[in-house]
Formats: sequence, C-alpha cells, structure tokens
Amino acid sequence: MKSKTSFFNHTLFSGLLKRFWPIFAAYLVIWLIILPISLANILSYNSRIALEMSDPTAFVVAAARPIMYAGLYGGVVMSGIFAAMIAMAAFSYLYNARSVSMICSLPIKREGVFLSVFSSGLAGLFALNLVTFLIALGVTAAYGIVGASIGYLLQWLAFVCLTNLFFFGFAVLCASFTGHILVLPIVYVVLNFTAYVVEALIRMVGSMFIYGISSSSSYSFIGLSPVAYLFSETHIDNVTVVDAVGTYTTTGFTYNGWLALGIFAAVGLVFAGLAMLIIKHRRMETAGDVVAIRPLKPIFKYCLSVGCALVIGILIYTTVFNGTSGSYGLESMLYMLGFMLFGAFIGYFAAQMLLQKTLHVFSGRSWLGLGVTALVITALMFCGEFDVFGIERKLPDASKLDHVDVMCAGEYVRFEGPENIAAVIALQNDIISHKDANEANIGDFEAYVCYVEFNYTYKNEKTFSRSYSVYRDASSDLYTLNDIMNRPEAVEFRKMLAIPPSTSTIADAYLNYFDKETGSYVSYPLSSDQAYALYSTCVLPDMDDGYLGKVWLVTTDDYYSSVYDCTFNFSVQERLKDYSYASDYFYTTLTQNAERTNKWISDNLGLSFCTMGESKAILELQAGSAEEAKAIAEKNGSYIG
Amino acid sequence: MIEVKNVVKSFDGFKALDRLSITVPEGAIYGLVGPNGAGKSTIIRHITGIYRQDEGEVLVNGQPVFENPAIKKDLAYIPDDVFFFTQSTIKDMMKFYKGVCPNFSTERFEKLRRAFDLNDNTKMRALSKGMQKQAAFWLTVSMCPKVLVLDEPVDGLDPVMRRQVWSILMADVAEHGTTVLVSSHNLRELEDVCDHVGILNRGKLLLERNLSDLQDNIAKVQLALPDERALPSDLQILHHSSTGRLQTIIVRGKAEEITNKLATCEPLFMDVVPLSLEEIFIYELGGEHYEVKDIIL
Repeated sequence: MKSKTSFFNHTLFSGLLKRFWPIFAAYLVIWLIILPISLANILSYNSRIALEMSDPTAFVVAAARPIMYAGLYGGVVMSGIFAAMIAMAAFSYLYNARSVSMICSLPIKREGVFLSVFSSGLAGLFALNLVTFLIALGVTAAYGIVGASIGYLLQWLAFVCLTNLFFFGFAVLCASFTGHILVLPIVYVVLNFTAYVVEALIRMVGSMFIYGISSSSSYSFIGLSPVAYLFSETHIDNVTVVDAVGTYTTTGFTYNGWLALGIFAAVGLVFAGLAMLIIKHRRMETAGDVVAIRPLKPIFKYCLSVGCALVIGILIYTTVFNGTSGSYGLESMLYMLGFMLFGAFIGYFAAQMLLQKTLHVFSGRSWLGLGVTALVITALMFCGEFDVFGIERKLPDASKLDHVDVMCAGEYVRFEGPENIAAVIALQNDIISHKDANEANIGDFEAYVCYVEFNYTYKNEKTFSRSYSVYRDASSDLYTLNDIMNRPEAVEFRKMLAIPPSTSTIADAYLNYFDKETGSYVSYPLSSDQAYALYSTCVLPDMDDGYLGKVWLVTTDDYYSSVYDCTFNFSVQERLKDYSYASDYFYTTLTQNAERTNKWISDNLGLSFCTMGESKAILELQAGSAEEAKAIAEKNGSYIG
Repeated sequence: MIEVKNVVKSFDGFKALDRLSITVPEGAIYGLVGPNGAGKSTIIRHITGIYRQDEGEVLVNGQPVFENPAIKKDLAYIPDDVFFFTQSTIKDMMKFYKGVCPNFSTERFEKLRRAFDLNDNTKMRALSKGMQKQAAFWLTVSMCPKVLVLDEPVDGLDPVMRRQVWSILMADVAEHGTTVLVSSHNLRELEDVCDHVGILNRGKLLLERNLSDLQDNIAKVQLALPDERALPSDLQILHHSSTGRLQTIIVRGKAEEITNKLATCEPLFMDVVPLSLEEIFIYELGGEHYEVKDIIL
C-alpha cells in the first residue's frame, strides 16, 4: 500500500528562500528603487509645483503616473527576468545527477518537491511585492495622498503579481523539459520571443518572394511571444475630463488589458501544472541533457533546423546581395533557398550534437531527417514563388471590412466609406495584375514613386495587409492611387487633428515657401493668432471646396502651373494635468485656386508665392542640373521631380 | 527486504539492466559487485526510487519504492559522489534532513559526533572528499534507516575511518536489524562485512549467494599428478594454470566432492586453498569473457 501524498514540505519551502536569498534581495532592492524611492523623489519635486499651482489633483496625477508605469514596464521586465532566475534556482536540482539523486531519494513525492519549491518561489515574489507596496504606501502617506494613491498602488500590486504568476509558471515549464541549467534561460528567452521573431523572419522572406507581403505589418502570432504581447496588449489609459472649451485634462490613470493579463496569469498556472506533470514523469537520468523529455527532442531538432534556415539564410542573403540585387524573381529565390538549406544543415547537425552530446553525428540515418527538412523548405519556397497558395492574389471581402488605412509617400488616410473601400480593393487588384510590369522596374530609382501599404481591418477586428512599390509609367496604378488619396474622405481625414486647433493649442506655426527673390526656401513664422485665423477662416473653407488638402503623387503640367511651392504648417499641443504634453501636426500645400487663403496671406503678411514650375526653373538654373535642383527642393519638403 | 524482479532499464537504446532480479533478505548485508558498467549504480538508483524502471518491479519491504514516501522514509542512501547544498554546513544539512526525514534522530546525531572528527559549522565545500563522505555517513546513520543503500561507501576514507564507518554500520545492523545493500570494488572489505553477495555483469545477475555458500561452492586446488594422469573430465574447471608439474585449478563445486574426484587420479600432491571473494569474482567473470588479459607491451 502506498502512502498518502505529501504535497508540501516546509523545509524545502524555506530552504529555497534561505539558500537563494540574494536573488530575492536583488528583486526587492530594484523594486524599491523603481517605486518608493523614485516616487518619493517625484513627490518631493512636484509638491513644490503643486504648492505653487494650488492644484492637489495634479499632485496625485503626478504620483499616479510613475506608479502605473512602474507596474506596466517594471512588472513585465522584472517578472520576466527574476522569474527565470528563481526558476533556475528552485529547479537546479534537476540538472545535476548528484542533486537529482539526493532530492529524489528523499521521502517526498515529486509533486511534493515541486509544489514546495514552486510555492516558495512565488510566495517570495509576492511577499516582496507586498513589502514594496507597503513602503510605497508609506511614502504617499508622508505626502498626505495615501487615500488618493492607494488605488493606483493596489493596481500596481495586482499587475505585478499577475505578471509574476505568468512568467514564473512559464519559466518553471521551461525548467521541466530542459536538462541543463544553462539551457533553461536560453530556452526561456527564445520561447518568449520566438513566435514574434519567427513570424518576422518568415515575413521578411515572404516579402522578398511573395508579391505584396509586407515585413512591417501587424503580427498574427504575437500572443505566443509573451513579452511582446504583454507590451502590446496592456497599456495605461488616461482618465480625462473635458472642460467647457473642449480642453482635455488628465485626472488619473487606469490599466487597460486586465483580461489579457488575467488570461496570461491563468496560463501561467496551467504551465505550472503542466510542469509538475512533466517532472512527475521525467526520467531523472536526463540530468545534463539539453532536452530532458524524449518526445521534445525531435521537435527541438527540427525547430532549430528551420530557425537556423531562416536566420542564416536571411543573414547570408542580405550580406551577399546587400544593395546589389533585386529581391524578386526565381533566380533570387534560388539563391535564398541555397542559403536557407545551408542554414538548415547547420541547425540540424548543431541540434544533433547538442542532443547526442557528441560531434560524431554525421551517420547515414541522420541525413534522412535533414533531407526531409530540406525538402519541406524547398517545397515551401517554390510554393511561395509560384503563388501556389494564392497569397499574392488574395483580396479582402469588402462586405466584411470596417475600414482600410492607406499609407503612401508619408501620407496616411483612413477610408470607411464602402465606395472608397471598394476603390482601394480595386486598386490593389490592378496592382496585382500589373505584377510583371512593376517587378520589371525594380531597381529603377527614376521610375519608383512610392511604397503603398493597404491595411484592411475587418468588422471582427482582424486585419489583412499588403504593400507594393508603385512606379511611374508602369501602369495606370499611380494615377488611380493619386485619385484615391485626394478623394473628399481623404481630404476630410487630413482635417481631423487629435487636439482641436485654437489660439491656445497652436504652436510652432509657419509658412515654408520658395522665395523667388532670394532663390531659396524661407520659413516664415506665424503667431498662434495668425495661424488660427488663417486656418479657421481660409484654409478649412478652401479644403471644403476642394482647393486645398490634396497630395500630388503624379506631377502633371497642372501641378507645376497651379500648385505653389509653399506649405502651411503648424503643430497643436496641449499640456496635460500631469505636466506631460499631447500633440498633433497639420500641413497643407497651397494652390492658386485657394483664393481665400492666398488673399489672407497677401493682405496680412504681404507674401506671394511662385508655382512649382517657377521654382523648378529657378532652382535648375541655380543648381545647374535638374537632379541637383530636385535634391534641394526635397531637402526643403518640396517635390519638383 | 529488497526485491528486484526482472527489471529492465534502457538509456537511449542501451540496455543497462536486462531482466535483473536481486533479493536482499531482511537484516542482511548484501555486497553488490561487478565490473565497471555492470549496472550497479543504476540498480541502486532504482532501489532508492530515483529512477523508474522500464519493466519489472522494485520492492522494499513488499512495496514499490518509486514515489512511495512511506517506504523511502525508512530508506537511506549514500551515493558514490555525495551532494550537499552549496554554502551549507553540516549543521545546515542536519536541519534539512531533520525537516524532510521523519525518522531523523538528533540524539543519534549528537551521539555520533564523537565518531567523526568534524566541525558541524564548517562549510561542506571546505571539506575534503573523504570528510564529506564522513559527513554523509554521520547524517545518513542519524536518519535511523531500516534499509541502507551504499554505493562505494568508503571510497576516499582513510584506513582508520574505514574501520570506524564499518564498525558503526555493523553495530547498527546488530542493534536494529538494518538491511544493508553495499556496492563496492573493494572486495577485500566486502568479504569482511557481507553475508550475501551478488555478482552483476552487463545488467544481469551472474550469481547471488550467501557468502559462505559461495565460498563453499568453489575451490582452489593445487596438485601434482603422475605423468600419465589427466584431470577428471566431469570437473567444472573455471581456471587452470601450471608451473612445472604443479597445477592450480579453480573448480566449481564443494571442496570435499572435488578432492574425492581428484583422488581417483592418485595425485602426488594435493592441497585445497581457501578462495577470497576477489578470486571468486575474477574467476566467475572469467567465464563471462571478463578476465585479466595477458597483454605484452
């Protein structure tokens, strides 16, 4: 008859804390610096300002900000680092045959050992979080804002404890299937970022050989990279109030992303349970092996092989062909494939060496696995090149879309109207059908105009992105794009600023124009009052009438004769209650048709401007060449190419 | 009582234990001997519940030992290479074992203090290998085990301390009826302390006997035969050598039966010499293709 299960041993529990106290001490010291000490310093500084401003709310907001940000960034980073260190300490007995013998011969079940050390590590972290919380609370009490700040400190405590739970569970899971103490942190770091990095690498390779794939669009598998996901999904929202004149004032902060964090914490617990099961059934003779669990060994081998294929392939390709070759076409793909197969070879046999703990791994059977890997990589590369899966031809279903963001030549526009969305999809379809003509222009910098990105967002919040280079004369795509970017919805979108322009929010306003008298570009400063008057009484009506707010991707004769070489620019800024700033930026190129605007400038500033054609002629005369003139204009934010 | 029944254990395809069966009677001191790589440490790690067998059973006092704290609380183990926590002292380790082993006796620990000339406040890593072994004995015997498993226990100890350790073990066996399984290459010492012996080779048990039965079942005979006489063909000869007319044979069987058979050859001279455990080990394994090879350099 077997004995009853003992799930906890106090000696093992306290032993971890006693033997590895320096790790816990370091955790506490760093938190004390990040939170209470930093908070005391900030409160000491802001108490003087608050006294001057007689604004107690601002004082609390000034205290809340560092608390909340300490939780968001400190919580993820500190938990990420210290969870791994404590897991290494707690489960170090698994990695040495001598310590395995000692611990496993004790009259405690493996679950008992696991739960004792796991709870010890977690309790240590939680206890130190609590100590930090109490000291920080004492600091706020010293400045008389304990009541107002305790909510933020409790949020901090909850946030940090939940991140502790996830990262410790994750680190313990890594500890359970690795057999070497130095492998644990490597596996932990790699798994924290692997989905993100692998997706980035696949996108990078895809963007080279699959027409329309962008390496910079949003990531689909970011949830599998915990650090990246937590940083992207949890953030701090400002609690704001709007006064009578429409000014936003921050009165507090709250964490956004509790659900994601709660799910992650629950996943951490599941990981810990999984780790316990793995350790319960682990073959203890694997102490010292890279991978301790037999079924994971082939996974490790093939993952390392494919990972090295991607990394080494891209590394060699970009090194060898840096700036000397186009990134498209079968020939380039074959080069890339060759480099990837070399990387797969390196990764495959490196994994074999690590698993078998010998350099003699080139036996006949080993090559079979490499052959399969190489075959799969080759097949996928050819499928990508010849669009077997229809990735290049894929278009979104317009009826399911919420909006599309179009970005090109530094311009960003969001279209929500069905007609405009349909026009964007039609343009994408045209670009795809002109693939051969566009690819024929690769490397021709004269023909290249811009890089256009279509980021579609479905009603269910899923996204779909494609991006293409657009060339002059290759097709009618550039003209269609130009038309889309100047549709009324696009012009309307350019009017929307995050902060409403007013005499109090406009800052740094100026007209940037080509002065034909001096033959150079001039920045003419405007006061806030001038800028607001010009904007509200002239520019906005002219935009509504379709005279301003346009962009020119195509430089026709009309462009040179009717568009002034002049832009009206200003930024809007708002100082928030916590002494930080929010800002946005507005600019538009002036045209001859914008009579209201031109008259105001002439009447109030006495300025007149030359057209793009005039400035081009003057600049070319001055510079001696069209190229030089174009460079000067571009340097000044103008385009006369 | 320790019972190992048809245990199989493989490491990456290599069969370290091949249907191994061992029986250690209660209160016995069982010497487990075998060449390097025979599987001694592997079976010991099964008996102490560290490894899980692929097949078969490992029972201590009739119960499976793996993941069974009720059995393991009465079982103590001193490995070949002892492990202590880094930075710990003997006192720290005593507190640790006291916390995890319900049978740990502080009284016994204090009593044994005289036997081992060790300062319990010294850090373990500051002790020599032999002193660490002494500390391991001190702590292990203080756990009051009913089953004691020792892997190369006196390796690294000086002759005086070897005697001291064995004497403590013998006293424990005599007083508490402790069952001891000891693996060692020092057959001379095992011969003095063991009452049962098992010889292991390539993961299998070659033989398992009471030591006196083992010694009674093999004989070393020196004899000189007349010119025309040959040794009887029905003798189970494990080893045969000769110097001039003097022949030395190691024969399996009872000494009396062997001398009776040899007497039929009318030897000119015959003497039966007692066989040491080391000689038994060497000659038994000689039949398993593990013998001292004559190599000329």
